[in-house]
Amino acid sequence: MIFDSHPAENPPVQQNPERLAVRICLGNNAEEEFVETFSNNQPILSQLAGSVGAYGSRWQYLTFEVHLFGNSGELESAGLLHLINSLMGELRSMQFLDLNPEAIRIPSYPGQTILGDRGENLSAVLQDICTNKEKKKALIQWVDELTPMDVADFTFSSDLNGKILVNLVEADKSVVSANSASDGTLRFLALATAMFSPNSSTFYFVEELENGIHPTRLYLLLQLIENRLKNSASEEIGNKQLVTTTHSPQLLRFLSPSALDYTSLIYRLLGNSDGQIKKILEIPAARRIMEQQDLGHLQEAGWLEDVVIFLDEAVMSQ
Amino acid sequence: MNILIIPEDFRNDQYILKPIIEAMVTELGKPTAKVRVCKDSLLGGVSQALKWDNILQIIERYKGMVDLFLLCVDRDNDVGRKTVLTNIEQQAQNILPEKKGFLAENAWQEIEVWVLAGHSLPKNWNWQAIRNESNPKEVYFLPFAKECGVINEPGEGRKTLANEVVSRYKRIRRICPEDIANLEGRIKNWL
Repeated sequence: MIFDSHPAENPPVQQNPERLAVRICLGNNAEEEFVETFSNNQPILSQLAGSVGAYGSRWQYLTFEVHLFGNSGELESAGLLHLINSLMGELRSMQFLDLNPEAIRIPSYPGQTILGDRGENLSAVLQDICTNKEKKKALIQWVDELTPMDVADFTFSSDLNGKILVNLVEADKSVVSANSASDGTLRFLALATAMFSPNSSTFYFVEELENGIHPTRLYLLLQLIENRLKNSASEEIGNKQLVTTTHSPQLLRFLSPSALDYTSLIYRLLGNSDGQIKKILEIPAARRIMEQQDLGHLQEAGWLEDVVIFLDEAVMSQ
Repeated sequence: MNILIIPEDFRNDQYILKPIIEAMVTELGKPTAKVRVCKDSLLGGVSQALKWDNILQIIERYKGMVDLFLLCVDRDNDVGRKTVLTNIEQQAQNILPEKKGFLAENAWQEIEVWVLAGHSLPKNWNWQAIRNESNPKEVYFLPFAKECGVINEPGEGRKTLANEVVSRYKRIRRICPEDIANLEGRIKNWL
């Protein structure tokens, strides 16, 4: 199913400013094609998904059967509405993490199991994870590696409202409240909590992963993420995925070969209003060059910028 | 005494090399030696770790404060690796001041075997087979770490599993004669 309000050819006429006219094409070869109008203050997918009432949907085409390859690799058929609902579920499970130490430091009610986008509810989510001894031990180990502190345990203090806040306990029994922990420690702890939590999202976006992390600890961040993404599929938490951006040559230096396969350069050329994206390993000779010179050094030296300009001119001059 | 370990990739190797070398030098009567692992990101793999230019950079950086450099890499079933390491040792000794040392060793066949040497392993695992296996990390260490419930920890459990075996250093030395016992003997001679 393809729906487009502004296709390049024969766009539907937009007559009503409060309604969006959309061309809908059904079938692999657009066997059915028609124009439908939707409210312009709500995503179309959610209008379709929420359209089913006591008498079925007013949009009968939602019963349209589509054929696609399922997880088993076999061709399956499914109703369009079922697919739309599945897609809505996937979109809902995406989270754009913008971890904010101030939000992380706010106490939370016990029993919360979902980390907020800014790190809200960290203490409650962490307390929930700590009921699993193996996960608690692993989390403590990661935080211990990251910080100069000798972290040996987590404890949780309650305020008068019953909300809790995490404390980091060192081997000498000294206690550091989340209020006193550094911003970098809290960001790392929040990201680690998201990675270990069974009830959090399965798809994360995180901008500038390296923020607040000491350069000599960046490799730990990548190790944590790769470890959890690799092992999440075999645990009860489902496949997790993470998309992140970085400007840090130190972080680029630590990318594993498998991570490099999925690393892309995002750039915008002068005079061009559109951003572009290119897989690093699709840059000619990149693989050979990176066997001798690491990606971090190439970035610092401006090679990536030079490459996209030279390649673009090469295409134009052909 | 200050000792700098140069691993082929510090990110995982550090968790194994530091405690085992500390146990080794303690056994040699130097329990207060300061042992550090070089965390130079340019050494990402054995080919980089065996490049003289990279080793030279590290020596230049540290020769004023380190007494003993230890280059520790995997053998990877490469019979020629020892010769390469011996050459690096020679080049290093030629430029180091007197009384400073540079020794290189290769683990049979990967560093992770030193950790396995200190643990009680599944009864159906043959120790000689582990020593001869080209990929002991994949075939033995990672399944063992998973079984021990530490695979989600830093270094895929290397930190916990290595710290658990330092008290059994003598056993490790006994069943790893080509590498651990050999290295200990050479450090003893240097001392």
